[in-house]
This record gives sequence, structure tokens and C-alpha cells, in this order.
Amino acid sequence: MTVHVEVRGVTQTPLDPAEALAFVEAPGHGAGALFLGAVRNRNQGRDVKGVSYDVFAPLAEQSFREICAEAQEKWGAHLRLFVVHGKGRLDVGGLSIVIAAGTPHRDEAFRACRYVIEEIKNRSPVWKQEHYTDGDSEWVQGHALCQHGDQTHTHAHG
Amino acid sequence: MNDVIIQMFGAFRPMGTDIRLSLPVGATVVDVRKAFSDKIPGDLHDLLAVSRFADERAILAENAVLPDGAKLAILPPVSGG
Repeated sequence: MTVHVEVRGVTQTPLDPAEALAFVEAPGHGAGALFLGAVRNRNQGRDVKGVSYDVFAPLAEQSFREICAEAQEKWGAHLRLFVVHGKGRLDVGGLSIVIAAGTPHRDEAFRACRYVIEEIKNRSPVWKQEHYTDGDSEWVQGHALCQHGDQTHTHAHG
Repeated sequence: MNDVIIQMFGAFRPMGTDIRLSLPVGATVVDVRKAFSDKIPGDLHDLLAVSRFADERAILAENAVLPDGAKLAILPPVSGG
């Protein structure tokens, strides 16, 4: 397998970037790119203490597989990809997503990694609920999903 | 009649884990949307208008006919990553 996708509970066990990089290594690959998404302490003027991630896991993993297949069409079947998205509550600094891309040369690795995170943010069924230091919580406004007749693909209006 | 379960996600979570709708055999996603709208508070209607129904494999077209015992999810605008 050249692709690993997963939704994983992160409240107890943090995501591990080393696992992602190890998966995308190969003898012919001279490049590995890593993207980490983490909870930050401020959003839209409000002080954030944590985020809860809600995920429709079966469809999210399906969307990850579709996005990775698209990346392999663009940059070649040799492209190795690792995508794990967290589910559950994280404090500031906690990792919500880890993506790694392994390729022979650096350009495809950077591009593939960027493609996968941007498409996930637009298309995958994941929702953030921010928890603020004042005790309030809000669901983050996101990208509305659309459907273009081909029921095997998810898309979004950004 | 055909029972359909709708799993809640994101800002629909305060409504519970899921709700059950009873719809005529041959109902479409349009029918689900109407029945679902009647079950949720008015302040969620604007969110429903920009949300989609899906099963575990794909977002469903509004004219898709539901199979017996369908288990769907309501997907508000997404904010992952």
C-alpha cells in the first residue's frame, strides 16, 4: 500500500509525525514533506483554550482516499501519502492532522502535501468546535459542501 | 412507510446523536430535508439550507431515492484540518 488514511481518536494518544514520515519513506524517494495542523490559542479575536473535532469517519476516510488518488494522478503512482485526522478534544498545541508525502524529488512532495491539506479543508466531513477561555464554545463556520452528480466525489464551495 | 435515521454532526450535535424520520417508500433526499426541517428548531433552518445529506460513501443528490432502512448523516459546512 502506498497510501494510509485514517480518522483516529486523539484525546488520549497524540498523533505522531515520526509515524507519518516513516510510512512515506522508500529507497527511491529522496524527499519527504510533512504538514502538521495544530490548535492555536487565538481565532478571530477570541482566546481559545481547546478545540473539539467532530468527524463523520467513514465518509471522511473515503474523501481522504479520493484526494490521495487525485494526488497520485497528478504526481505519479510512486507518491506515498500518509493522512491521519484527529477526532475528539485537543488543547492548544495539540495536533489535529498529520500529512506526509514521499516522492523522488522535493517539488512533488511539497505540492502533494499542500494539495492534500487544502482539499481536506474544503471537502472532508470534519467540524471544529472552539472552546474559549471565557467558557463559551462555538462551532466554526466552514465551507458548504456540494455535489456534482457523481456520487463518488465530495466537493465544496469555498 | 420507511424509517430513516439521520446522524447529527457539527452544529446539529445539540439535537442529539441521531433522529429517526418516517417517510413513504420511494422518498427522496428532498423529502428527508422537509421532514428533518420540521424536527429542528427554527434557528437551525439557515444552517440546514447550506447543509447536505450523505451516506457513508458519498454526498447524496437531492433527487436520490432512499433505500429501505437508510442511515444518513446531515453535514453542515465543514471546517477540518
